[in-house]
Amino acid sequence: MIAEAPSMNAPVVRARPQRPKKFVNLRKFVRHPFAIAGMSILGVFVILGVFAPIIAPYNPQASIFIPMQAPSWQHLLGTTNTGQDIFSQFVWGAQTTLMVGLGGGVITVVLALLIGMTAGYLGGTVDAILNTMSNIFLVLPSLALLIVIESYLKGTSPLINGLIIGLTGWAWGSRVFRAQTMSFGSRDFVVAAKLSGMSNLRIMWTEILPNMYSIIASNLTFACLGAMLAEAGLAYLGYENLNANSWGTLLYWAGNGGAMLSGAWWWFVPPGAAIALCGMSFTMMNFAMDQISNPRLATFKKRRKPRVQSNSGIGA
Amino acid sequence: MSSPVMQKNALAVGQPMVQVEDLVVRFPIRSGVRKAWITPVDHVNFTIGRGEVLALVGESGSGKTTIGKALMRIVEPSAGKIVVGGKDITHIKGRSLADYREDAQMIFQDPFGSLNAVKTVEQHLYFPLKKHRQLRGDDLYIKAGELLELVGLTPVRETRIKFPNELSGGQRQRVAIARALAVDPKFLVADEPISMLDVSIRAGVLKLMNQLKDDFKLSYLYITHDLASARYFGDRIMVMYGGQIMETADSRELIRRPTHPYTKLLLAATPGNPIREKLPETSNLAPNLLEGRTGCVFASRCPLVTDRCRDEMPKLTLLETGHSAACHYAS
Amino acid sequence: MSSRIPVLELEDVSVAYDTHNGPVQAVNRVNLKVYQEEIVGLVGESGSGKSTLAYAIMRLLKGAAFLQNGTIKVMGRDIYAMSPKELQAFRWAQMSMVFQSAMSALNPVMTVEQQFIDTLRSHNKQMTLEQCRMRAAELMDLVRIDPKYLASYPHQLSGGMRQRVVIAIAIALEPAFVIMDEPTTALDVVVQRSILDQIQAIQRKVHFAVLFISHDFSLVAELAQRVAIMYAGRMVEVADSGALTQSENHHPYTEGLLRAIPKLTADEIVIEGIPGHPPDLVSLPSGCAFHPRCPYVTDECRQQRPSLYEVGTSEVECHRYAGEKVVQHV
Repeated sequence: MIAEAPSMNAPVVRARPQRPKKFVNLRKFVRHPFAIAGMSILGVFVILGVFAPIIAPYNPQASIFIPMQAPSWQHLLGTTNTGQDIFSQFVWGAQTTLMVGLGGGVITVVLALLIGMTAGYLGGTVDAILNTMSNIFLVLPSLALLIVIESYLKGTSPLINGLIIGLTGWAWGSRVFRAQTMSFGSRDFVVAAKLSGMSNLRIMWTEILPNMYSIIASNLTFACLGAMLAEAGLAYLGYENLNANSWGTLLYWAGNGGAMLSGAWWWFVPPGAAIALCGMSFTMMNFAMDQISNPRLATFKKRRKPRVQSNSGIGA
Repeated sequence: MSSPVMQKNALAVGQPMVQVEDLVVRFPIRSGVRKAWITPVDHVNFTIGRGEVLALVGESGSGKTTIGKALMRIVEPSAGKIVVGGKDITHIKGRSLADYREDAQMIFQDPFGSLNAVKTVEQHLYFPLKKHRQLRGDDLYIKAGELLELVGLTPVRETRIKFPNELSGGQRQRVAIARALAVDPKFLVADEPISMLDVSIRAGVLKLMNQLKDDFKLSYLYITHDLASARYFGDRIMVMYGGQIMETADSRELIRRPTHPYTKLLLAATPGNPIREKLPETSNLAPNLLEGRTGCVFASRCPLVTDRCRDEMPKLTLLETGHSAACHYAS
Repeated sequence: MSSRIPVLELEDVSVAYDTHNGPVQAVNRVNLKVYQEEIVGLVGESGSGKSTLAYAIMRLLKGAAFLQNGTIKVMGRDIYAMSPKELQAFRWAQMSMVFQSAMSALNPVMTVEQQFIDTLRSHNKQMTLEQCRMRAAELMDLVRIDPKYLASYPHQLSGGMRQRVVIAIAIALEPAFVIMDEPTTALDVVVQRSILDQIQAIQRKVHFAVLFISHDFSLVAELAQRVAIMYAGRMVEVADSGALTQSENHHPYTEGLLRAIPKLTADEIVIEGIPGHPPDLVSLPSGCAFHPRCPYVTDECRQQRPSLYEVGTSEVECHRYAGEKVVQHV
């Protein structure tokens, strides 16, 4: 009856699952055209940001150049009205903005997970309290809340901004995770885990959380997008340390320096376009994730044999 | 195969494994503004001996699943007493409840929902084996393999590393059974374990449960809506309706000589039954589970109903040895 | 048989699913005729292809599924040759379907009566509201539901009543042919029995043919005049229901299914399963798809798929009957 009958000293050779089966979704993701496009675009800006110290030709704050120059080989994105090199500002701005976007997004998701899962799994009074809290945060207009906080703090650095964005933006994600946790919590395999003596914390960590990876990933892309846009918005409105270097402050100074009036498109178009492109790349990655986790959303190639097509009105 | 772990609380000779006395489970439901209560389990009594299978037959809304949950202490009884393996488990908590988990386990109806999609077959067994049999490393690996062999998931080397979505319904149920056995229980509650499986697979799973019962002297509460499998697997059958027991008897006896009108209705409705008496035209209303109902629960659907039935709830009376029915007119 | 008009004709029908690794065969060269006012059962378990076939007949295949080969004719008309407009007029008036889950077949925000009216009006714009109402009441009477429930919403009805409403809507236009896809699977055994009795009664009155799909063999055998059994996308046996009580002249899978049903009143109850597990359509066994589970397996079974043979009044696809008249070569 014994499956393996090892001799006393022979090591037990274990069967190993083939790795691909476990990460099948991840592999599908990196092959999906939308995901590839999104990651490439984002990748360009990430490289710019990571290697900013090497790539940026000048000190972004140095106002030593001829102001309001159009793009040239010495100044790839021209200069500001105070004679600063915009390209250097742009590259350093990439670093800051992306750090805030990704950092703020991660903080948001972690908080949302903690609060949402606890509420969904434990239920009862804990759920009622956490639910009320998240409802409050949901109802508050987030940008207005951020502005109010900022105006007390007076000119915070982008990183602090990122933290604040993370601490206030978790409500929507927590609802999603709460609902997911509740639906898993009533499944038989969770009841079986309880019956086998697992503690609640362990159940949440080993039984429920691994089932939520794709929805966490999807949430993360949205959260990063939101954080990035929030930071840009706050900076543009002047609620950030104006000496900081981010795409948002770049836009602020562009507005302040009359770039639009004087037609200095090289000042405000690059940061705006960069924000839009990064936002789009997050969205594209999210789209790819949706298609993979819900196969019914996927579109199919046209079949070669048109003779016996399904009724076109009721097909896919 | 290793022998069963020594009983922690040896039963006295002749003492049943499970004793349920006057069990009541009530739930609140929102009926308008006021809170009303329903009693899906309404004063139920039964016993299950060591190595015995009691089949609990009923339709949806009969309360059979709730009894299973109460026995597993997923739900706490509102009144009455449940004694398993000599211990009163009705209201235990904490440490005692955790210990009870080593005595009783459950097998669920839905083979797809009872396994975790992100864990392999063997990973489902590791936690209970670690916690309850204190196994580690190679011993753990070997024991898991033995369990899988026991439930027929061969070749073990291949199936142990599969994920649930690579298994058929019958195979998943076998994994669920292996998981239940990992803690070395004395008593299993099987809640409709085969109703969602393909017909050709069901016999295999029932036979496995039978084999395990003989090998380990397990007691079962086998919950089902299907009289045929209840007859096959159960030593005794208990028919429930609307939270109450309608009839209970030795399984062969119940099929051959049913006395309660509801049992007769179930028999007539079961496909494959050569006795095709015309089903009496009764309404198909769900049973009234609200607290405070009077009379027989089955009155609204019974072809033999009289005024007495509507006013007075019939008691479960012993008709012959081992055969009881709750009906004013049971012959 | 030849004097009766076929309501459904399946000729060499194959349905496949597009996947990354090429098409997967769900239904493989199936032939079947259903005649007027006949009840034919279609039995199969997971992976048999029975539901896919039903959707193919109704031309409801979605997504990656497509009709790969063959013709499907209802009342003599090729379903896949019709234009969308013709199909819309044809569906429900000539053929309709009863789905497994009544809750998803009924519109949750419309009352029962409104759903009847909706169906009737969409096919016959001339019908007045009054006429629709009368017809709705007639239909409710036919399925033995108190007409007061016409004003109810689906969630207010019991499972059995909902399913009867779905059946009533399916026969509202008096089609010649109704497909019923596991209509009683989600219901309790007593309710199931009453619905099946009802189906028989209605069928006698309204005169339509039924293709009754189920995994429950004993149920189908009681209801249908002929039973077709599918395994791994092939129709492995077609037999009169009378022949099902005999123990010879069957496909081994049918024998297995017959043994899997416990005879309730026998002295010693014996049930046997079929060893092995349901077929994986992506990687089917070679030769005869049933061979890994067959007690009579030979080398020929492993290599070569059997032809369809005429055995008595049945048709069976099994090498054991080689030597009988061939109905269809592989």
